[in-house]
Amino acid sequence: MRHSVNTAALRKSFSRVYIEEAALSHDKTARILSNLPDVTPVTVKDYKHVFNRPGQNAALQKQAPALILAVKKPPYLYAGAPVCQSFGEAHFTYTSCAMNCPYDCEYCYLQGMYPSGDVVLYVNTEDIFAEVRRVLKEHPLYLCISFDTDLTALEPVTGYLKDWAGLAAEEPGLTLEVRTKCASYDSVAVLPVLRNMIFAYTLSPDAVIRAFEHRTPSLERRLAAVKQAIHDGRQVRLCFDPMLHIPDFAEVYGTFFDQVFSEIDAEAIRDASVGTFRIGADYLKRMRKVRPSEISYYPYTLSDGVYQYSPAENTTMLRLAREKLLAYLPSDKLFFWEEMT
Amino acid sequence: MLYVCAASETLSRFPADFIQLNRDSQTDVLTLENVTPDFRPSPSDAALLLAPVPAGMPEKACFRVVRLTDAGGRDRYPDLLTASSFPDAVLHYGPETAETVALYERLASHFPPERLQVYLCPGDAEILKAVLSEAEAFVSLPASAEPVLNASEQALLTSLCGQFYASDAMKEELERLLIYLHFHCADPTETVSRFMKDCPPVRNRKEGKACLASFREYCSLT
Repeated sequence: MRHSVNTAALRKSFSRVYIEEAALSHDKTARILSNLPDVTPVTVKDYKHVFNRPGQNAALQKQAPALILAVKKPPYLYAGAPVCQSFGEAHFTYTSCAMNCPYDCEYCYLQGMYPSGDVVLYVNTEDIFAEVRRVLKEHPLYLCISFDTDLTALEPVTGYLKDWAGLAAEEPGLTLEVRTKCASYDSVAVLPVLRNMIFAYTLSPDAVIRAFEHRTPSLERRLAAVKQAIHDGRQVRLCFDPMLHIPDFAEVYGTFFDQVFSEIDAEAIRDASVGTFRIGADYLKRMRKVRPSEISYYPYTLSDGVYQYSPAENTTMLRLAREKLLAYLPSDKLFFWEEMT
Repeated sequence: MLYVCAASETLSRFPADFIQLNRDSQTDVLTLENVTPDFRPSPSDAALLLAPVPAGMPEKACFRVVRLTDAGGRDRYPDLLTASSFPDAVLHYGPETAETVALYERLASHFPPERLQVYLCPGDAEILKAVLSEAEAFVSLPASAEPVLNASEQALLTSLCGQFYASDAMKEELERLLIYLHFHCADPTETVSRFMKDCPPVRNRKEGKACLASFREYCSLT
């Protein structure tokens, strides 16, 4: 039987909580702990003593992850990586108020990025907010807040989305992107509807979800959440990214795109992004070590330090996506991540 | 099967419902006194050894023992290593850890190091449950040292390396491709045989490299 992470399960899924000494007296620490009544906190001097230890097995930790509360040190904002879709935004930036995610996707770059499968929550979000406000005095900001985690899935524990929505409501120059696979809409439903807060739902065919996106909601449930968000008047983005080169690719993805737009009103979405799987060479090397699989050992092509499908494979996959999606969406609403050459 | 092992004196400090909780088909509680020389676990079995937290360590915390050292700091069991999300501890061999060492020595004769975990933990029910859930996850995984390729796939790799006049770099790539096929195909040997049937004869490394390029493409299309 397949289990996805739901709110109740999330509350119970953290068997242990480690708290960095500097985070002990923080108000967000108290808030998070109040949402986790069943755990036993352990105080540690520095969160890196737990998160960055050598000899960890992230795949194993994913099955019983610990939660680590810590204080983030600068920098608080990062320039968007070249492998990420910028949506043509001039000030494409991201921030990490959390590291790691309750889901367990086999292709996820976080496995190559972090030495641990445990989840870190930074409790000093007010420092990140202050930096955002400082930058906004210089120029508008397009900020992705859910790249290295899934903030929507973690919302029942953190309440961070609510905080971010409060900031976005006060700062019209700020545009937030909240990337998620979470189908639980309860945490989103209570947020104000804002023009500058984009909910970006990652969608995949059910065959891909079952095979590679462990503990995530089914396509049906994700589509239900998308429909609710649209119904409430939210800014909704659909992310068909990463597309995977699976057997019967054309048939699986062709049917998938048709299914999505048979249920979703294409005119109601803000835009959509499309990209094939790609990953930095260092991350893939580590992924192969911690999680050998058909994803990590696929014969990719290395180009500019990024492993990706061959140009011929990319062309085939993106052409199919383009042809299918242009039947539903105008070209100015479609953003393709083209292969790096 | 996961054997949760502790001295009877240690077990007596644990909550009764914890002991009951573990008496199911996949987990068994084993007291030190029952680990006799004729005890015969199967190769897939694993053991979780629980010992009291020694003096000087936080009472509410739980530690995975990664190394046992003697009084001079020399490694006693340097291979005692399993994955864990708990803080690690180097346990110094001394009077306060005599029980742990005795338990380990007794268990070590029946379980290889990669199937044996040692935790120092208090009798706290919640922490015990967390240790157990982690240990159960551990036992469901293959041992970390276990290679991905099985014996026949390893033989296939050796054969392909010979046929392709493979350099070290080519060997590494062939191994990666075979690992991919291991996860991707029901029968990697058959898949490789199909490719080799249409492969032209390879007489030197240059031709081997060309053949490897074709094999790479073949794998991505399979």
